[in-house]
Amino acid sequence: MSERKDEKWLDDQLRRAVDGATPVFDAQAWRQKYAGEFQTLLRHRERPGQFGTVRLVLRGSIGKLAIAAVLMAAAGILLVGRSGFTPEKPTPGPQPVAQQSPAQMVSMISLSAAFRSGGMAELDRQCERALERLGPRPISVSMQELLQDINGTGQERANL
Amino acid sequence: MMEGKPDDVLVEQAARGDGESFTELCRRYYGSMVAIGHSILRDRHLAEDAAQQAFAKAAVNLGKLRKADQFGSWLAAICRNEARDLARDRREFPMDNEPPVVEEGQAGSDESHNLVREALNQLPGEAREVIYLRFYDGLSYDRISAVLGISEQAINGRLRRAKKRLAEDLRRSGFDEVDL
Repeated sequence: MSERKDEKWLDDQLRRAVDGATPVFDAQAWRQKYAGEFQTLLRHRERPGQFGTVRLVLRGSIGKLAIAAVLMAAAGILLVGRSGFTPEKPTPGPQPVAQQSPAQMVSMISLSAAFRSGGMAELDRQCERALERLGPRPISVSMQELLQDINGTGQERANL
Repeated sequence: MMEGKPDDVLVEQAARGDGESFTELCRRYYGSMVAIGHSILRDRHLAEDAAQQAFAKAAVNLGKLRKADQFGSWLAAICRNEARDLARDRREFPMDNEPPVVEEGQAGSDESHNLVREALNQLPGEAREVIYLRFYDGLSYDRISAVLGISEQAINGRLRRAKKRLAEDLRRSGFDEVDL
Protein backbone atom coordinates (compact mmCIF):
# COMPACT_ATOMS: atom_id res chain seq x y z
CA MET A 1 0.00 0.00 0.00
CA SER A 2 3.02 2.27 -0.08
CA GLU A 3 2.54 3.03 -3.79
CA ARG A 4 1.16 6.53 -4.27
CA LYS A 5 -2.40 6.42 -5.64
CA ASP A 6 -3.40 9.34 -7.78
CA GLU A 7 -6.50 10.18 -9.80
CA LYS A 8 -5.28 8.27 -12.84
CA TRP A 9 -4.83 5.17 -10.74
CA LEU A 10 -8.34 5.55 -9.37
CA ASP A 11 -9.80 6.07 -12.86
CA ASP A 12 -8.14 2.88 -14.06
CA GLN A 13 -9.48 1.01 -11.07
CA LEU A 14 -12.98 2.35 -11.63
CA ARG A 15 -12.86 1.44 -15.31
CA ARG A 16 -12.08 -2.12 -14.28
CA ALA A 17 -14.66 -2.13 -11.51
CA VAL A 18 -17.63 -1.09 -13.66
CA ASP A 19 -16.66 -3.67 -16.28
CA GLY A 20 -18.36 -1.64 -18.97
CA ALA A 21 -17.56 -3.18 -22.31
CA THR A 22 -19.71 -1.38 -24.88
CA PRO A 23 -23.11 -3.06 -24.93
CA VAL A 24 -24.60 -3.59 -28.38
CA PHE A 25 -28.32 -3.23 -28.90
CA ASP A 26 -29.80 -6.13 -30.86
CA ALA A 27 -32.79 -4.46 -32.49
CA GLN A 28 -34.10 -7.62 -34.14
CA ALA A 29 -34.13 -9.59 -30.88
CA TRP A 30 -35.72 -6.70 -29.00
CA ARG A 31 -38.53 -6.33 -31.56
CA GLN A 32 -39.28 -10.04 -31.30
CA LYS A 33 -39.18 -10.06 -27.51
CA TYR A 34 -41.35 -6.95 -27.14
CA ALA A 35 -43.51 -7.35 -30.26
CA GLY A 36 -46.67 -6.08 -28.53
CA GLU A 37 -45.04 -2.90 -27.27
CA PHE A 38 -43.40 -2.24 -30.62
CA GLN A 39 -46.73 -2.69 -32.42
CA THR A 40 -48.27 -0.17 -30.02
CA LEU A 41 -45.64 2.33 -31.12
CA LEU A 42 -46.26 1.60 -34.80
CA ARG A 43 -50.00 2.11 -34.37
CA HIS A 44 -49.35 5.83 -33.77
CA ARG A 45 -48.76 5.99 -37.53
CA GLU A 46 -52.43 5.09 -38.13
CA ARG A 47 -53.65 8.17 -36.27
CA PRO A 48 -51.17 10.84 -37.24
CA GLY A 49 -51.57 14.33 -35.92
CA GLN A 50 -53.05 13.29 -32.60
CA PHE A 51 -50.25 15.13 -30.85
CA GLY A 52 -48.44 16.41 -33.93
CA THR A 53 -50.94 19.12 -34.83
CA VAL A 54 -51.07 20.49 -31.31
CA ARG A 55 -47.29 20.45 -31.09
CA LEU A 56 -47.02 22.18 -34.47
CA VAL A 57 -49.38 24.93 -33.34
CA LEU A 58 -47.63 25.31 -30.01
CA ARG A 59 -44.21 25.44 -31.63
CA GLY A 60 -44.96 28.63 -33.59
CA SER A 61 -45.08 31.93 -31.74
CA ILE A 62 -48.22 33.02 -33.63
CA GLY A 63 -49.95 29.81 -32.63
CA LYS A 64 -49.00 30.40 -29.00
CA LEU A 65 -50.31 33.97 -29.14
CA ALA A 66 -53.57 32.84 -30.73
CA ILE A 67 -54.10 30.20 -28.07
CA ALA A 68 -53.27 32.73 -25.34
CA ALA A 69 -55.81 35.19 -26.80
CA VAL A 70 -58.52 32.54 -26.94
CA LEU A 71 -57.79 31.50 -23.36
CA MET A 72 -57.87 35.10 -22.12
CA ALA A 73 -61.18 35.76 -23.90
CA ALA A 74 -62.68 32.61 -22.44
CA ALA A 75 -61.45 33.57 -18.97
CA GLY A 76 -62.96 37.07 -19.36
CA ILE A 77 -66.34 35.70 -20.38
CA LEU A 78 -66.24 33.27 -17.49
CA LEU A 79 -65.40 36.02 -14.97
CA VAL A 80 -68.15 38.34 -16.24
CA GLY A 81 -70.63 35.49 -16.11
CA ARG A 82 -69.61 34.60 -12.55
CA SER A 83 -69.80 38.19 -11.29
CA GLY A 84 -73.47 38.38 -12.36
CA PHE A 85 -72.97 41.41 -14.54
CA THR A 86 -74.94 41.43 -17.76
CA PRO A 87 -75.24 44.43 -20.09
CA GLU A 88 -79.01 44.35 -20.08
CA LYS A 89 -80.10 43.12 -16.74
CA PRO A 90 -83.87 42.52 -16.87
CA THR A 91 -85.91 44.86 -14.64
CA PRO A 92 -88.72 43.45 -12.52
CA GLY A 93 -91.75 42.96 -14.75
CA PRO A 94 -94.58 45.49 -14.38
CA GLN A 95 -97.90 44.58 -12.86
CA PRO A 96 -100.27 42.94 -15.40
CA VAL A 97 -102.11 45.57 -17.36
CA ALA A 98 -105.49 44.12 -16.44
CA GLN A 99 -104.85 44.88 -12.75
CA GLN A 100 -103.59 48.41 -13.29
CA SER A 101 -105.52 51.60 -12.77
CA PRO A 102 -105.49 54.17 -15.57
CA ALA A 103 -102.97 56.16 -13.56
CA GLN A 104 -100.67 53.15 -13.31
CA MET A 105 -101.12 52.42 -16.99
CA VAL A 106 -99.68 55.78 -17.96
CA SER A 107 -96.97 55.85 -15.30
CA MET A 108 -93.36 56.08 -16.46
CA ILE A 109 -92.64 52.48 -15.50
CA SER A 110 -95.62 51.06 -17.39
CA LEU A 111 -95.05 53.20 -20.45
CA SER A 112 -91.35 52.34 -20.63
CA ALA A 113 -92.19 48.64 -20.20
CA ALA A 114 -94.71 48.92 -23.03
CA PHE A 115 -92.13 50.65 -25.20
CA ARG A 116 -89.54 47.93 -24.52
CA SER A 117 -91.97 45.17 -25.36
CA GLY A 118 -93.39 46.59 -28.58
CA GLY A 119 -91.96 49.98 -29.39
CA MET A 120 -94.10 53.02 -30.23
CA ALA A 121 -97.03 50.87 -31.38
CA GLU A 122 -97.28 49.19 -27.98
CA LEU A 123 -96.91 52.60 -26.28
CA ASP A 124 -99.93 53.88 -28.27
CA ARG A 125 -101.92 50.79 -27.40
CA GLN A 126 -101.10 51.23 -23.73
CA CYS A 127 -102.41 54.81 -23.83
CA GLU A 128 -105.54 53.67 -25.70
CA ARG A 129 -106.18 51.02 -23.06
CA ALA A 130 -105.82 53.64 -20.34
CA LEU A 131 -108.36 55.84 -22.07
CA GLU A 132 -110.77 52.93 -22.54
CA ARG A 133 -110.45 52.13 -18.85
CA LEU A 134 -111.44 55.69 -18.05
CA GLY A 135 -114.61 55.23 -20.16
CA PRO A 136 -116.54 57.75 -22.27
CA ARG A 137 -116.00 61.34 -21.34
CA PRO A 138 -117.75 64.54 -22.37
CA ILE A 139 -116.08 66.42 -25.13
CA SER A 140 -115.54 69.42 -22.94
CA VAL A 141 -113.80 68.44 -19.74
CA SER A 142 -111.87 70.62 -17.39
CA MET A 143 -108.30 69.89 -16.42
CA GLN A 144 -109.36 69.36 -12.82
CA GLU A 145 -111.94 66.74 -13.81
CA LEU A 146 -109.42 65.01 -15.99
CA LEU A 147 -106.88 64.86 -13.16
CA GLN A 148 -109.51 63.65 -10.75
CA ASP A 149 -110.36 60.81 -13.13
CA ILE A 150 -106.77 59.88 -13.65
CA ASN A 151 -105.66 60.17 -10.05
CA GLY A 152 -108.87 58.85 -8.54
CA THR A 153 -108.64 61.47 -5.84
CA GLY A 154 -111.69 63.55 -6.65
CA GLN A 155 -113.87 61.84 -4.09
CA GLU A 156 -111.26 61.95 -1.38
CA ARG A 157 -110.69 65.64 -1.98
CA ALA A 158 -114.44 66.28 -1.88
CA ASN A 159 -114.60 64.47 1.43
CA LEU A 160 -111.89 66.65 2.91
CA MET B 1 -29.34 8.28 -42.78
CA MET B 2 -30.71 8.05 -39.24
CA GLU B 3 -27.27 8.52 -37.71
CA GLY B 4 -27.05 12.23 -38.45
CA LYS B 5 -30.44 13.17 -37.07
CA PRO B 6 -30.63 14.84 -33.67
CA ASP B 7 -32.35 12.97 -30.88
CA ASP B 8 -35.37 15.28 -30.65
CA VAL B 9 -36.17 14.81 -34.36
CA LEU B 10 -36.01 11.04 -33.92
CA VAL B 11 -38.26 11.31 -30.88
CA GLU B 12 -40.85 13.31 -32.83
CA GLN B 13 -40.77 10.79 -35.67
CA ALA B 14 -40.96 7.83 -33.29
CA ALA B 15 -43.95 9.42 -31.54
CA ARG B 16 -45.68 9.44 -34.93
CA GLY B 17 -45.12 5.70 -35.22
CA ASP B 18 -41.77 5.52 -37.01
CA GLY B 19 -40.22 2.27 -35.80
CA GLU B 20 -36.83 2.93 -37.39
CA SER B 21 -36.44 6.21 -35.52
CA PHE B 22 -37.29 4.51 -32.26
CA THR B 23 -34.78 1.73 -32.97
CA GLU B 24 -32.08 4.31 -33.62
CA LEU B 25 -32.88 5.96 -30.28
CA CYS B 26 -32.54 2.57 -28.60
CA ARG B 27 -29.12 2.10 -30.20
CA ARG B 28 -27.97 5.52 -29.02
CA TYR B 29 -29.18 5.13 -25.45
CA TYR B 30 -28.53 1.44 -24.90
CA GLY B 31 -25.08 1.91 -23.34
CA SER B 32 -26.21 4.61 -20.92
CA MET B 33 -29.30 2.64 -19.91
CA VAL B 34 -27.24 -0.49 -19.28
CA ALA B 35 -24.81 1.60 -17.20
CA ILE B 36 -27.68 2.95 -15.10
CA GLY B 37 -29.14 -0.52 -14.66
CA HIS B 38 -25.70 -1.90 -13.81
CA SER B 39 -25.14 0.73 -11.12
CA ILE B 40 -28.35 -0.41 -9.42
CA LEU B 41 -28.32 -4.16 -10.07
CA ARG B 42 -24.53 -4.74 -10.20
CA ASP B 43 -25.14 -7.40 -12.80
CA ARG B 44 -24.48 -6.82 -16.46
CA HIS B 45 -27.10 -9.26 -17.79
CA LEU B 46 -29.83 -8.00 -15.52
CA ALA B 47 -28.87 -4.45 -16.44
CA GLU B 48 -29.41 -5.29 -20.10
CA ASP B 49 -32.83 -6.74 -19.22
CA ALA B 50 -33.73 -3.54 -17.37
CA ALA B 51 -32.64 -1.39 -20.32
CA GLN B 52 -34.69 -3.44 -22.78
CA GLN B 53 -37.75 -3.33 -20.56
CA ALA B 54 -37.32 0.42 -20.29
CA PHE B 55 -37.36 0.68 -24.09
CA ALA B 56 -40.54 -1.41 -24.18
CA LYS B 57 -42.26 0.92 -21.72
CA ALA B 58 -41.00 3.94 -23.62
CA ALA B 59 -42.44 2.54 -26.86
CA VAL B 60 -45.87 2.30 -25.29
CA ASN B 61 -45.78 5.65 -23.49
CA LEU B 62 -43.87 7.82 -25.94
CA GLY B 63 -47.04 9.78 -26.74
CA LYS B 64 -47.11 11.03 -23.14
CA LEU B 65 -43.67 12.64 -23.41
CA ARG B 66 -44.29 16.38 -23.69
CA LYS B 67 -40.78 17.62 -24.52
CA ALA B 68 -38.77 15.70 -27.07
CA ASP B 69 -35.48 17.10 -25.74
CA GLN B 70 -36.13 15.45 -22.38
CA PHE B 71 -36.29 11.97 -23.87
CA GLY B 72 -32.95 10.91 -22.33
CA SER B 73 -33.79 11.85 -18.74
CA TRP B 74 -37.33 10.46 -19.16
CA LEU B 75 -35.96 7.15 -20.41
CA ALA B 76 -33.40 7.07 -17.60
CA ALA B 77 -36.16 7.48 -15.02
CA ILE B 78 -38.04 4.54 -16.56
CA CYS B 79 -34.86 2.47 -16.58
CA ARG B 80 -34.13 3.18 -12.90
CA ASN B 81 -37.65 2.07 -11.99
CA GLU B 82 -37.29 -1.11 -14.04
CA ALA B 83 -33.93 -1.88 -12.44
CA ARG B 84 -35.29 -1.30 -8.94
CA ASP B 85 -38.26 -3.54 -9.71
CA LEU B 86 -35.88 -6.25 -10.91
CA ALA B 87 -33.75 -5.82 -7.80
CA ARG B 88 -36.84 -6.10 -5.62
CA ASP B 89 -38.10 -9.15 -7.49
CA ARG B 90 -34.76 -10.91 -7.18
CA ARG B 91 -33.94 -10.62 -3.56
CA GLU B 92 -30.48 -11.92 -4.14
CA PHE B 93 -29.58 -8.44 -5.40
CA PRO B 94 -29.90 -6.13 -2.42
CA MET B 95 -30.03 -2.42 -3.25
CA ASP B 96 -27.22 -1.08 -1.10
CA ASN B 97 -24.34 -2.15 1.12
CA GLU B 98 -23.85 -5.31 -0.85
CA PRO B 99 -20.60 -7.08 0.04
CA PRO B 100 -18.10 -7.17 -2.82
CA VAL B 101 -18.21 -10.13 -5.12
CA VAL B 102 -14.86 -11.88 -4.63
CA GLU B 103 -14.29 -14.75 -6.95
CA GLU B 104 -12.35 -17.74 -5.75
CA GLY B 105 -8.63 -17.45 -6.35
CA GLN B 106 -8.87 -13.73 -7.01
CA ALA B 107 -8.99 -12.56 -3.39
CA GLY B 108 -5.33 -12.49 -2.70
CA SER B 109 -4.16 -11.63 -6.21
CA ASP B 110 -5.98 -8.35 -6.70
CA GLU B 111 -6.79 -6.81 -3.38
CA SER B 112 -6.89 -3.27 -4.73
CA HIS B 113 -9.47 -4.14 -7.35
CA ASN B 114 -11.79 -5.74 -4.82
CA LEU B 115 -11.46 -2.89 -2.37
CA VAL B 116 -12.28 -0.36 -5.08
CA ARG B 117 -15.32 -2.38 -6.08
CA GLU B 118 -16.41 -2.56 -2.47
CA ALA B 119 -15.97 1.19 -2.01
CA LEU B 120 -17.91 1.79 -5.25
CA ASN B 121 -20.78 -0.33 -4.00
CA GLN B 122 -20.86 1.66 -0.77
CA LEU B 123 -21.47 4.94 -2.60
CA PRO B 124 -24.95 6.47 -2.62
CA GLY B 125 -27.03 5.65 -5.71
CA GLU B 126 -26.57 9.01 -7.48
CA ALA B 127 -22.79 9.03 -7.05
CA ARG B 128 -22.49 5.41 -8.13
CA GLU B 129 -24.64 6.10 -11.17
CA VAL B 130 -22.48 8.97 -12.43
CA ILE B 131 -19.35 6.83 -12.05
CA TYR B 132 -20.90 3.97 -14.02
CA LEU B 133 -22.01 6.39 -16.73
CA ARG B 134 -18.58 8.03 -16.90
CA PHE B 135 -16.53 4.84 -16.93
CA TYR B 136 -18.79 2.71 -19.10
CA ASP B 137 -16.95 2.29 -22.33
CA GLY B 138 -17.79 4.71 -25.09
CA LEU B 139 -20.18 7.06 -23.29
CA SER B 140 -19.72 10.68 -24.25
CA TYR B 141 -20.37 13.64 -21.98
CA ASP B 142 -23.17 14.63 -24.36
CA ARG B 143 -24.91 11.34 -23.79
CA ILE B 144 -24.41 11.48 -20.02
CA SER B 145 -25.73 15.04 -20.01
CA ALA B 146 -28.84 14.01 -21.97
CA VAL B 147 -29.50 11.12 -19.62
CA LEU B 148 -29.01 12.98 -16.35
CA GLY B 149 -30.60 16.20 -17.58
CA ILE B 150 -27.71 18.31 -16.24
CA SER B 151 -24.85 20.27 -17.81
CA GLU B 152 -21.36 18.91 -18.41
CA GLN B 153 -20.10 21.20 -15.67
CA ALA B 154 -22.59 19.72 -13.24
CA ILE B 155 -21.56 16.22 -14.31
CA ASN B 156 -17.93 17.08 -13.56
CA GLY B 157 -18.89 18.41 -10.14
CA ARG B 158 -20.93 15.33 -9.32
CA LEU B 159 -18.13 13.07 -10.55
CA ARG B 160 -15.50 14.91 -8.52
CA ARG B 161 -17.55 14.64 -5.33
CA ALA B 162 -18.16 10.94 -5.96
CA LYS B 163 -14.44 10.24 -6.48
CA LYS B 164 -13.50 12.28 -3.43
CA ARG B 165 -15.84 10.25 -1.30
CA LEU B 166 -14.49 7.07 -2.85
CA ALA B 167 -10.94 8.15 -2.02
CA GLU B 168 -11.94 8.80 1.60
CA ASP B 169 -13.52 5.36 1.83
CA LEU B 170 -10.39 3.80 0.33
CA ARG B 171 -8.15 5.64 2.80
CA ARG B 172 -10.25 4.22 5.62
CA SER B 173 -9.85 0.78 4.04
CA GLY B 174 -6.06 0.98 4.12
CA PHE B 175 -5.16 2.98 1.02
CA ASP B 176 -3.55 5.70 3.11
CA GLU B 177 -1.95 7.35 0.10
CA VAL B 178 -4.90 7.90 -2.23
CA ASP B 179 -4.38 11.48 -3.23
CA LEU B 180 -7.10 13.40 -5.14
